[in-house]
Amino acid sequence: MPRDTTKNHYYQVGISRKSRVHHLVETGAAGKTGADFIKMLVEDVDRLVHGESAVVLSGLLEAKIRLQPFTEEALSTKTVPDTPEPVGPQRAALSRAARARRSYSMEEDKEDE
Amino acid sequence: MTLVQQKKRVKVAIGHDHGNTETADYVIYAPELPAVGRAQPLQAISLPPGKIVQKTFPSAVAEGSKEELESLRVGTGRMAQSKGEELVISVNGGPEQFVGSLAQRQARQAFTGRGDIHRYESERSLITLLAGLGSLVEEEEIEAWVVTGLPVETFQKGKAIRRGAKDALEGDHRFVLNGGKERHARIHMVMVLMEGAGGLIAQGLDGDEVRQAILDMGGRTTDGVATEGQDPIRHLCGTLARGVEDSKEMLSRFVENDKRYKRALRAEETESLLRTHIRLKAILGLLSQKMYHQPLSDLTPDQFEHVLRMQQTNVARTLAEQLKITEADMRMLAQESLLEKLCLQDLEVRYRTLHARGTEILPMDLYTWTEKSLRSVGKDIASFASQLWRVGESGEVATDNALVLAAGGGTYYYLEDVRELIPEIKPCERPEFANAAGYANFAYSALLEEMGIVV
Repeated sequence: MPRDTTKNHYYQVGISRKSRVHHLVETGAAGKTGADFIKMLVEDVDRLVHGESAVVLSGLLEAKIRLQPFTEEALSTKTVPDTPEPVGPQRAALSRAARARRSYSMEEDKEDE
Repeated sequence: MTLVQQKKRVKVAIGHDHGNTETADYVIYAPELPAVGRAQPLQAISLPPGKIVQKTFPSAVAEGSKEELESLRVGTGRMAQSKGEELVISVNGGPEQFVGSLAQRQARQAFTGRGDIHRYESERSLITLLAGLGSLVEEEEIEAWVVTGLPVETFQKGKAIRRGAKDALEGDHRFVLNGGKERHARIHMVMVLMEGAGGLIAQGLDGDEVRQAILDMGGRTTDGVATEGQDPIRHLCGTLARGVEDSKEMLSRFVENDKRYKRALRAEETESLLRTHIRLKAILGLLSQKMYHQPLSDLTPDQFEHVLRMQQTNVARTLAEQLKITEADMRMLAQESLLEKLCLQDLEVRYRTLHARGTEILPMDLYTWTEKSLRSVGKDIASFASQLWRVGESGEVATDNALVLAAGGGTYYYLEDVRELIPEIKPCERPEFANAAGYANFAYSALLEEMGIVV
């Protein structure tokens, strides 16, 4: 089968050759070569399969904010679970809800009279 | 989640927005309380809010069993396993019912209760509540504090109808969802509010005297609610019997009345066309700027046809390269058009292919008719807002409010029409959930009080 030269042939997912993520995997990161990087990822998967915590993946998730500015895919791909609702707006909504409860209870009482 | 956790009784607050077309459920779990003893009553502000989960699904309910569904699938060679989004529920030992998209797909006549003033008092109201609650909350024993809403006009008919809506839901219920274990829900009805009021609780302004308003554009009705603080101002609240379903019906009639096609569209076809249309319109707007340096609305018919043909006949990569469109352009477009995500691949968005009498219905026809159907209902909604909230004799609308919000799924379709009259109107974040989120916070406030926590 002819090889798709626009995609990285190591991966089924096909990371674009021009992307920064592809560059990281090819050349390595944090002092590791690309091959080291892939080996560590494979070891991580093995750890996860055996119920242990991942090392590289956890580190990458923690560093996500730092990686985002130069990884194009990171901007369009969800890599972490849904973030919780921000606490500030939630508290403000709760305070308005308490105010609404007072208003509506008074209305109900008026209708009872 | 372990088996022990699943069996645990859980307390939640739920906002149940049971619309004519879509039902939105928004659940807030009770907060985790500190294990140590305490002398002072706990303050809500000192506790992190509980976990939040939410979902929407079509309001359709129809009789049908899991067994029947599985035998159909075996017959067609499909997996006999329920898909995630499918809801089959039996409530209080009654017959199994399909809920949501499954009811729309499998039943010839799914019931949504459209136009039935008593639908809020019917068993179907309970079925959609338990289907939503049961699919969002995994535990077998659920104690739920519930707030729901009624269209303003129905709400204002008096306490009896609100009581009926409460009674339909209140109490202890057993249910089986998707053939699983029997589960139990204890429902405490906290309040029935006006539709729209929830959005002002979720995303309105604070303060007792601030005047604010919300236009809640739903499937069959559009509700306008104005409040002082959170106190409704009765004469500035009302309902218009127009919504997204009217646009869908109009679109179907356009196709049916055209002598080339002469066929009505099915519900899922009109739904798909409308959803695609808002993406397509946003994309065409971007192409119009890139090709002619002017908005779509200012193009001549020939120019418009050229833009549409170019978009329909080229793949995303070609369009992006030829017109120098970047991911940043797409992100900006998504923000402007209320669409959650748009990427370069969306440049080649297409209507689903529809046929009538062996002929494909042309994209140009679909665009023209969908646009006409939306603008017709949109103008009616804008006119309703104008009548309800006119200020003085100068023709200005709702200018005496500190904030005017747009909520409901219709926001995606009609905001541009309302903006012509109320330029300051602000769409709620995720407008389809705004009401349910407000109802849920109202219910959460009651739940916290029940737990001895000061709000």
